[in-house]
Amino acid sequence: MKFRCDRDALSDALQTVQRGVSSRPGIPALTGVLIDASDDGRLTLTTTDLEVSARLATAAQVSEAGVALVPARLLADTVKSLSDAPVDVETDQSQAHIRCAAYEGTLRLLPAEDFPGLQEPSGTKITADAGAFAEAVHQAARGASHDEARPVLTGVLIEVSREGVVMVATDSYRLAVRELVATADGEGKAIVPERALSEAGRAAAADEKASLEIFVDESQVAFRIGELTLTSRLIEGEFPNYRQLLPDQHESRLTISRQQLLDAVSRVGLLARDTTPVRLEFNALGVKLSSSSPDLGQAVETVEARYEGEDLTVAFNPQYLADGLRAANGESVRLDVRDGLKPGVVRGDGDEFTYLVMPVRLPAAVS
Amino acid sequence: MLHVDLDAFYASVEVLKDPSLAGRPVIVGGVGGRGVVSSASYEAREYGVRSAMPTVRARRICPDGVFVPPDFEAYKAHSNRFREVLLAHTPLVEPISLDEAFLDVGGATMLFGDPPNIAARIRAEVEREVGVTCSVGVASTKFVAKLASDHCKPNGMLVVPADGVLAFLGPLPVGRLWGVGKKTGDVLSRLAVRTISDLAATPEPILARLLGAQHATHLSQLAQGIDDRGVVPYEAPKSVGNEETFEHDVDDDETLLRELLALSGNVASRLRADGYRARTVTMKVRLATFTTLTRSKTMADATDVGADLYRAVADLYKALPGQRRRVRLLGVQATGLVPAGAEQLALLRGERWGDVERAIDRIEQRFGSGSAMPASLLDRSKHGHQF
Repeated sequence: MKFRCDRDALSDALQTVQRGVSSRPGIPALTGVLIDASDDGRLTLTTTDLEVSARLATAAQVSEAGVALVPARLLADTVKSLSDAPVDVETDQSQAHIRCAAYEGTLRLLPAEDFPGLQEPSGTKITADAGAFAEAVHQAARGASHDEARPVLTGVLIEVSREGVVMVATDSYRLAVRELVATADGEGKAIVPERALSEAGRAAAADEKASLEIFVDESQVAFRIGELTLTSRLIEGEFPNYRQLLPDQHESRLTISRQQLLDAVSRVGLLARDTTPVRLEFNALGVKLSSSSPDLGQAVETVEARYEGEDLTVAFNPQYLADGLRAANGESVRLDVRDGLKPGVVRGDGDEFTYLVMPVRLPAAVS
Repeated sequence: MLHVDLDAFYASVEVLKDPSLAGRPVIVGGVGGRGVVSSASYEAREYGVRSAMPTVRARRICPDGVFVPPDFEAYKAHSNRFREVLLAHTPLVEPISLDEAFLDVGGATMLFGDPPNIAARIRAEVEREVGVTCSVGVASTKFVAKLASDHCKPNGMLVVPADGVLAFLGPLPVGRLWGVGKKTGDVLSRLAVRTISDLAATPEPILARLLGAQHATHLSQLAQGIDDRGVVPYEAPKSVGNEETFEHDVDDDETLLRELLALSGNVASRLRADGYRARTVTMKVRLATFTTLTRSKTMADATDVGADLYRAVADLYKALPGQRRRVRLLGVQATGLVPAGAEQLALLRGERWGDVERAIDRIEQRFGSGSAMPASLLDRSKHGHQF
C-alpha cells in the first residue's frame, strides 16, 4: 500500500475516527486504524471498539492499493505533529513508513486479519438536517443514566415514525424528550448507547452542512454524516413507557428568563447537598430560591418572573434542574409545577424539547 | 451547658403539616378509647389538657380540640433537622428524646460567642430550619439548664449564671428535681421540705436516714446546684443488622430466602425508625460446618425499604456457589448509613414497596408488631429465635 495525502486532510480524518478506538485495549487489533487505499483514490479509515465503529473516506493519491492496520493513536499524533507538507505513507509486511518533508518514521503494523469485519448500514433509513440533529442529541442525551446496573437507561431511545424522530433519555430522576423533524422510509425503535449517539451528535455539529442519514435495524444503528459513518450496537431491552410520564396539562406555570433562573439555581445550588436540595418557592412575584446546609451556610435569591398558579414550594436537585435549563433553547423557559411530589416540566421557546425533573421530597413535607 | 427543648413538638409539627390548625387547640395522641395525650399545643393546654392524660378526658375538657393521631415519621424527620442544627454548633450533643437535647458548648465559644449568644443563634436557626420554636436553658450544669428551659417555655430563653443558681433553684418545688418522684416527695413533705432551698438547708444525714445515703447525697448536691454529669454525645450508628440462628439447620432455598426477606424487613424497619438509609447491604451465611460466608452489595441509591434490601441479598444468596448447603445462621446487615433527610423522587417506580412498608410501620405502631407482613411470611413457622 502506498499513498500520498494532504497533511491536514489525513490528520482531520484520523482525529475523527479516533471516536471508535477502544479505550480498553484488551484486543490489540482494536487499538488500530484500518487503512484501505483503493485504486480509485479513496482512502477509507476504520476503527472499532466492538460497540462503536467509525469509518471515514477521504481522498488520496493512491499509487499502490492495499490494506494495513496501524496503531491509531500513534499515527494520529504523528500526522498531527508533521509540518505542513504532503504526507507519504507506504507499508511493507510489518511496518508503515511515514515521510513528510524532512521527517521519516516507521510504525509497526498490527495484524489486520484480527480486525473485525463491519456490517454495512441497513434497515430503516432516516434523513435529517445535521445541525438540527446535533442540537437534538445535545438536548436529549443529557437525560441518560450512567449507571450500568440498568443498561436500558444508559441509552437514548430513538423512535422513528413517518412524522419524524423522537429521542428520549431518562435516568429515572429526569426525562428528556426531543422531537426532530426528519423523513423516514419506515418506522422503528432503537435504544442507542448514549456515548455513541453523543459522538454522532458531535460529528454532526462539526459538519453542520453535511447530509445526515441514519440507518436502524434490529441490532445496530449507523449514522452517515457526510463521509463519516458511525455504527453502534443497540442496547437490548424495553425502554420505559415515557409517554405515560408526560403530564398532559399543567396547573402552575412559571415563565422566566432562562439565563437568570439558571444562574440563580447554580449560585444557590452551591450550598445544596444530597439531603438539602434547593427550594423553589413560587408566588405571584416570581420564584424565591433557597438552600441551606446547617454545617455550610445558606443562600437565598429571588427572581422576578410571571407565575400563574397557586403558591407552591418544590425542592429540586440543583444539578438536575440546571441541566434542563441549559438544554432548553431560547431567552425564556417555562417551568410547570404541580406540587412537591410531581415532576417539574421545563420547556424552552418551542415545544420540541420537554424536560421532566422529579422533585426532592423534603422531610415530612416541611413547606 | 444548654438544654434545648422544642415547644409542644408533636402538636407543632401537626400545625406545620396542616397550617389551618394554627392557633387551634391541637391534641396529638391515641385517638382510640384508651389512648392518651402525647402532646398538646399551648392553646390546648389552656383548657388544662396535659401530656399522658387519657384522650377521653381531654375530649371532655377541650371539646373544641383537634385530635390527631401521632405521625412519628414526620416527627422523626423534623427531629433529624433539629439535631442537624444542634450538631452544626457543637459535636457534643446528647439527645434525650426526639425533641430535647443537652449541648456542651464550652468548646464552641471561640466560633459562636458566649453560651447565651449560641443559645440565641440556635433558637433562631431551629425556628427557621425546623419550623418549630424552642426554649433554651443556659446554665453551668445539665439539670439547672433543664429546669431553666422548663421555666422559660414556650419560645423563651433563660440564662442562669453560676452565681445565680441558688437564687434560681431556691423557690422551685422539690418535685422539679430529678429523682424526686411521688414517693420521695411524700417523704420530703413530711420533713416540711417543699422547695429546693428547703432541701438545701436540710442536713444530709437526716435525709440519708429516710432516703438512703446514696439518694440523699445525690439530692443535696442537686439542691446546691452541683451536677457533674457531662454531655454524652450521641454517636450515629454505623450499621443496622439482624440475624437468626435456626434451631435445626436449614437446607431449603425457599425457606432461606423467606428468612432473608424477614430479616431484610426487620433491618429496614429499624432503619426507618432511626431515620437512616443504607447504601450497602451484607448477607451473612453460617453453614452447619461453621464456615461463615459474607457477601455485600452496594446499591445505586441508599434505601430504607426492605424489598430493596431483600432484592440485593437474594441476588447475593443465589450467586453463592454450590447447592443445598446446610445453613445454621443467616444475617442481614445494612451499612453505609446516611441520614434519611430529603429524598430524591424517581419518575420510574415499578414497585412502591417503600409506601407499603411505611404503611406497615403505622399498622404495627397501632396494632403491635407482626400485625402486618408480606404474605409470603404469613405461614413462616418459627425456626429459631432472633437476637
